Amino acid sequence: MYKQPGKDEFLRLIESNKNIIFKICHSYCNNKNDREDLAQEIVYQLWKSGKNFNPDYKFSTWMYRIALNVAISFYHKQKRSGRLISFTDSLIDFEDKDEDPGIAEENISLLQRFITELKELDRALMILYLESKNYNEIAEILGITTTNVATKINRIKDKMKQKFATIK
Amino acid sequence: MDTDELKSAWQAYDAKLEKSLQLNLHCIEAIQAQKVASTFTSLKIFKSIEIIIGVFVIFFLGNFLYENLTKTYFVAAAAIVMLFCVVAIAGSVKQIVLINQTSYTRSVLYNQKKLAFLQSSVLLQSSIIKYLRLAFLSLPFYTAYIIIGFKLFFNTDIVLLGDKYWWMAQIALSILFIPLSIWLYNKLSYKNMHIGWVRKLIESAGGKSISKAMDFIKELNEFENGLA
Repeated sequence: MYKQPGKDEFLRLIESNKNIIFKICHSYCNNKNDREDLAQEIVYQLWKSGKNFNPDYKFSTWMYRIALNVAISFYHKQKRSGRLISFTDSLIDFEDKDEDPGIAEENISLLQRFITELKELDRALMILYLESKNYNEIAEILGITTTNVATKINRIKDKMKQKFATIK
Repeated sequence: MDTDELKSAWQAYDAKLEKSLQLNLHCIEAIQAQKVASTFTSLKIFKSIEIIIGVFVIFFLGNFLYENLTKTYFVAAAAIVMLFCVVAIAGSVKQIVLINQTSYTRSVLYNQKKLAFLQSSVLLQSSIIKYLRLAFLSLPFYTAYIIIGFKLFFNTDIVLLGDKYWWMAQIALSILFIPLSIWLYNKLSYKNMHIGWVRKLIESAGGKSISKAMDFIKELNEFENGLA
């Protein structure tokens, strides 16, 4: 059992890794309300699991485990059970599309689209790969072998390349 | 788009988020308060009601047993039915403990498998199947229910009314039911969802979600073994 980070420290850690939550929410939910619900659930589970956080490990790895687990479980709940609470302010402000999409913007939305078309476990794998996690870390987060990680990533990359090729 | 381009698109996405994303973490305490209240899910309430009813039945049977202490067969019959009640209560308590132990800190595959198994088992234990399984298991002891039922509802001592042939028939049937009840009890499990009639029976008892959970477990296994 490890010392749970204090509230301020926890909030600081979440804040510095907030993009992880956002990207996972975007990859697993199609609409804004669902994304906000998922973000709430992820932050709550992170807070709840804080007592099990081992400071010897990277916070981001631990956060990925929880966030991906929560997102996949959330994804499996077929219908939304309703929002937990009506906040005046949302936990995360999910902004909608930029007004002027450039080439980079186009690539981002294409990439996002392809990620959401993947199966939920492949999606998790691809997010971690794009986050430049090494194969060992991906294997540790997902609970599969490093060889399996490498094989799957190559397979997904090939699939994505083919999809991009058909569009461009 | 090659690997480098994929990653640079992802990094561009990251940079965009850094500018646009706002985390209003002051909401965390409100979420926490709300979540504490929401932990009393309908399932837990259902389980708690089950436990309360079970305890009430045990109390009732205990009273029956006390009032008929002089007749061994009433004591034995009540004890057998009480035993099945205790099994049912223990199952509900175990389910509540498992629900409370849900955690997301282990690897994705480990957690998802555990959650899917938990979901199947909790759903199964919450459905009519749980009672069906217990009913199957208690088949060899059906005489105990007859003895108690006749006494309670008709105030009749069926044992005194039954002759030796009645007793022989009860014993023979009870013995015949032993292998059948064990077989049915073991078969009617979420682990046997691949067997057609088990799947149909569980699904017709409201277990569609169990089927889905089991399909997800299959998908997880394929992912783990590199098949998916």
